[in-house]
Amino acid sequence: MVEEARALTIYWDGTTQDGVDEKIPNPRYLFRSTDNECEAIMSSLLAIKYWKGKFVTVAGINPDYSYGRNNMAAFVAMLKRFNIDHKVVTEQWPKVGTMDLTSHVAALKAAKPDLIFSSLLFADLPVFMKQAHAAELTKDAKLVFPAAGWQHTLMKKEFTPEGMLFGHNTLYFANPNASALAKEFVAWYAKTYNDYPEWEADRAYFALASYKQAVEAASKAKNGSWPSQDDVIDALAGLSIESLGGKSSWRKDHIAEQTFVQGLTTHNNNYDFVTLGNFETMFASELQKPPGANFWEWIKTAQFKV
Amino acid sequence: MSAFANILIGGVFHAAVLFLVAAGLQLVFGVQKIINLACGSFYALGAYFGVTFIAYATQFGLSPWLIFPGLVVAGLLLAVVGPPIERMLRSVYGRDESFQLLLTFALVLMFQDVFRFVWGANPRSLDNAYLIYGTINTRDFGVPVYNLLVIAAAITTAATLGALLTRTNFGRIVRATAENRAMAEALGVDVRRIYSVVFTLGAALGTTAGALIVPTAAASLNMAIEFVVEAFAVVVIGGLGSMRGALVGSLIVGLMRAFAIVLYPEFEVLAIYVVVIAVLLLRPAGLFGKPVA
Repeated sequence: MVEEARALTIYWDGTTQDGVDEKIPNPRYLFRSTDNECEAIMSSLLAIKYWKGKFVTVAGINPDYSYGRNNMAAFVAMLKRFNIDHKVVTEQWPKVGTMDLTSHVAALKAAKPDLIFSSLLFADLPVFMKQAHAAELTKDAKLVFPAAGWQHTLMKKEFTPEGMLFGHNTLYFANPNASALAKEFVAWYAKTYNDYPEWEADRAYFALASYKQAVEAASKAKNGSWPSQDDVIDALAGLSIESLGGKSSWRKDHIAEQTFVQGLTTHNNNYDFVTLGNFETMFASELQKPPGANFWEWIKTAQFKV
Repeated sequence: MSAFANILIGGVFHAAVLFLVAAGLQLVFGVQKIINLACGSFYALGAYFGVTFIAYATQFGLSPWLIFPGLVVAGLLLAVVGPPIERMLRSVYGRDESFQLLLTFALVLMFQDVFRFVWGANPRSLDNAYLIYGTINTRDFGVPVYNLLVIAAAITTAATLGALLTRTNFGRIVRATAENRAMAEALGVDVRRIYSVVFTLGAALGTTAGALIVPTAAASLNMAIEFVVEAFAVVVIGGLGSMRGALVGSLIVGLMRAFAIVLYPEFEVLAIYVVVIAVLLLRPAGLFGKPVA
């Protein structure tokens, strides 16, 4: 529809593999977010790095739509890619918004997993953590939660353990290495809303700031006159800026590349929720398929840094 | 064995909450012949108000140990929404079910906007309440005491409702009104008042269920719709208007769901509706419902 309407459109999210089957591999007007599976690829790499040889049985609890299904499939594909000896003992698929997860917790507990992979990300995430903590499910299992950062302020210390692999997507509000701009934004946001921003703020900033920069560049190229939509599109493709979460770019095929943050949780902070102790950042070029590639085939042959 | 016990308790807990919502639905239909889709909204209203009520009560020194009774009070206070809504529903008494469904569905949408306006779009929860009463853990079996309190509340409600409807004068009048409104009216029963009281009682069951669930979960915009679908499955299985049906139907749905999640997670929803279809084919009035003449 975007291509039919010929209107420059920037998506800030919504690029699951099954959600955007490459019907239009080289769109002219559409600029899309990074692949949603970047988070799953990064957490797979970190889980292998931290815990290789320390887990065999794997359980999943993921939301029952393409995002959750693709993330779990990507995690398992990555384990196979690295020849990690593993056995998936249960896969739970609660509907988005399910608030009573006690039966899912019981099912996970019955499966006795060494590691639990979950891309729960809505209100059901803190609910799951509460119910899982109460059932002592989180006591011994290694936890890989690539999308947990969307609910970061609700992940209270009383039910969220330390040492859990926790993804903040493209903005970690407490990143000590953040740019002055990001620190200023976080401080302003905290003062204004009495809250701490998550990755949506970074995606929104990237979309607006890159558009602004493209308009300015296109205008400059036309000696200050207002650029056409085609001029802006040409300037936007290949553009790179410093977003709130770090380096961010538009590939020539109009797919975003951004900086992802994941690490292990700690209670050692002044908040009532968990933050990251050890954490790492990875750029999307290391985490998402190249232009035109099939995601699942790409995983089998890609060169990853573990 | 521990795994079985965990699954069983999970299923019974879900059934307990379902029963509280479905009981309100059954009570209202049994007496007023109104199919109230808004019962899910009462449930969500209880959850949202429970969070606010406990937040304020805590500021005024409510002991954490009193959170459970505090939530019961919060749920019961919300019974005040019953009379004005029942007054609105009088316009569809005796009319085609489609009018009732449209009106009560409109209420669902209006309540959703009220929640968004008053409490915002983000989920609201009581973080420190769920584990305040501790957990019972033995080897691989574990259950939060709070879940057991909710189950106990549902059992107490079932027993109290049963006694109220079968052993009190009020219950006899309610049953007479449900059986034959015209005859009850001819015998001097103030049917309007009975309708108002019954609807308020049904609303209070839903709001109390919502308030009680919130420490284990979170109040969110879509919880009204999510739960009403399961509540109607309970009603179809148990039989429209039957309290015993609500109890048995809730247990069937809760346990089917729990065991399906463990044995074949893909069948979580399907398992429930297989039972619904089987009941509709073999016993269209439900397990405890009265066949329509």
